[in-house]
Amino acid sequence: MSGRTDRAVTRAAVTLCALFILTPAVVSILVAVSANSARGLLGDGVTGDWLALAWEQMGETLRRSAGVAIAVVAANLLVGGPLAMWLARSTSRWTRAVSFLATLPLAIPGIALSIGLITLYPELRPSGALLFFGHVLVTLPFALAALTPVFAEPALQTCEDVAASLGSSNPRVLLTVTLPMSTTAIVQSVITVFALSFGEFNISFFVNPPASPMAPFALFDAYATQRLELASAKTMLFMACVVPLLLVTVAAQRARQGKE
Amino acid sequence: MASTVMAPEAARPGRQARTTARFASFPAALPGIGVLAVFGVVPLVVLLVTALGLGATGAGEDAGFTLEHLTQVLTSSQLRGEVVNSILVGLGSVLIMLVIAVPLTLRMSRDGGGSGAVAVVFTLPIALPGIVVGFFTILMLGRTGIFAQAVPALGGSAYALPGIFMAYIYFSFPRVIGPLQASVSTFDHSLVDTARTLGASRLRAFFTVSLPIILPAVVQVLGTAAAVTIGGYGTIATLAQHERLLPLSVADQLSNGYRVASASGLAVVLALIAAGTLALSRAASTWLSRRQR
Repeated sequence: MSGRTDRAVTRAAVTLCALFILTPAVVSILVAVSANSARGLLGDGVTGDWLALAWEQMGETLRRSAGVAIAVVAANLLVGGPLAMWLARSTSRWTRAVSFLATLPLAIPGIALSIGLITLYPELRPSGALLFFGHVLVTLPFALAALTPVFAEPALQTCEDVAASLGSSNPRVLLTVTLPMSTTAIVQSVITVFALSFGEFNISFFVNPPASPMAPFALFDAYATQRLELASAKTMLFMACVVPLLLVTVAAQRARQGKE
Repeated sequence: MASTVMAPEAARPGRQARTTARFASFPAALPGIGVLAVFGVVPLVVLLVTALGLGATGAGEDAGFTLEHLTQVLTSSQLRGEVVNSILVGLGSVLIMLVIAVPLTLRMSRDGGGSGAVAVVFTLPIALPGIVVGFFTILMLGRTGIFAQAVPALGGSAYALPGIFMAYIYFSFPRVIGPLQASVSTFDHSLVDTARTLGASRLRAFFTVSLPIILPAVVQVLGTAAAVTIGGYGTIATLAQHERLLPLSVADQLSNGYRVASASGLAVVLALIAAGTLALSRAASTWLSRRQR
């Protein structure tokens, strides 16, 4: 085969995979705007009623989930930032053990962790504090994975050394050298953590106080009890919240690869 | 996001001995370590203690040491089936995905075809919770799904093993493609060209040159992705009608009658399978890459 057919085959395979991913998402959008999807896609015409009803029923839940996710992001930066710095730069032999601890929430299924959490801290459950800490726990490894390698980069540390040798105080080095040079990684960890918390279901399913459901739980409920059109409309609202973030992350990743 | 699905320790580059470890303060790192310990390690210990009958007990459960809650996965035929199904679906879907993704990512790194739009589409499922993936499967293969409207025989297959496999392949897609793309990005295609010039067939070049080089990465991706598919609850919770996977029983034990010790026992087994898969793949990957040197 010549190089040109090779490339055509690759392109065809990529297109097929893209169709596999996109088709269900497009179908869910089409179902969400169908008056009656039992009569086929866009059956009985196009309507915005399902979306309006979905927003009416789920708007509050989406706002609540976004609020929790923002708090989880803040906690990740405040608590995860210094931890990533220590993991990246300390010569202590305990860094290995702590790195291992940080992989636990990745390896242990959320549903198992959540049973441990509700057995141990039932009194934290009604207020939603347990949900918050559970989300911080499962997102922290991702924040660390984004931040640690960047903080460890010799080029960054050399720049800090230069600034310090020219007389900058430590806080000034942090604010004017370290943080600006790590912006991409920080933005990426913010978006990843937000998206993960916003869509978290395994921990939330048990830990969440039932009176104030999170967005994924509202979706789960809709899938079990409501019409396909309404469930699709709610899914569409959910995707509208996370897909733009995905665009930003991928754009940031590609910009960084371009620079390298 | 795909490239961040990596363990922090794996992502850590070789650290040089520096005289100053600026900003590396242990007291500042303590709150983070505290969260990992208080809300990660301690609950896991409690989970294990509960599973052994030494902690909280629920309705109809006797307190006192017992291995029953753990061994029920072997003694009950229903649970045995769920364990087998969980491993089959979790590992199988990732393996199928690898059979597609290994040649695909190699070819993409050689021929291009990875525009920004493709990167976004290939990463999309990672932003969707398992329940949404389950719902997508219902839209396509459910009783009134669009494939069911075209081919009536497919109606309801979302709830049978083939449909569940499709859902888990969709779920693992970005978790396999993303890390693989990162690791083949440095692949030296001239090695394959050399083998081909020397007369090796395409297949032979793939199995004797390309595959051995990327095998450590492939094995690691297999374990990381399978740990997530095996432990995931959302997808199967949405698709549970006839077929059952282990996470369903973990949840059922707790929500139907609050049998907390039994649920903990099953959760420990599920965690052992998921974490064991991850640990095994890490070990195999390290062994393979050592052997290459």
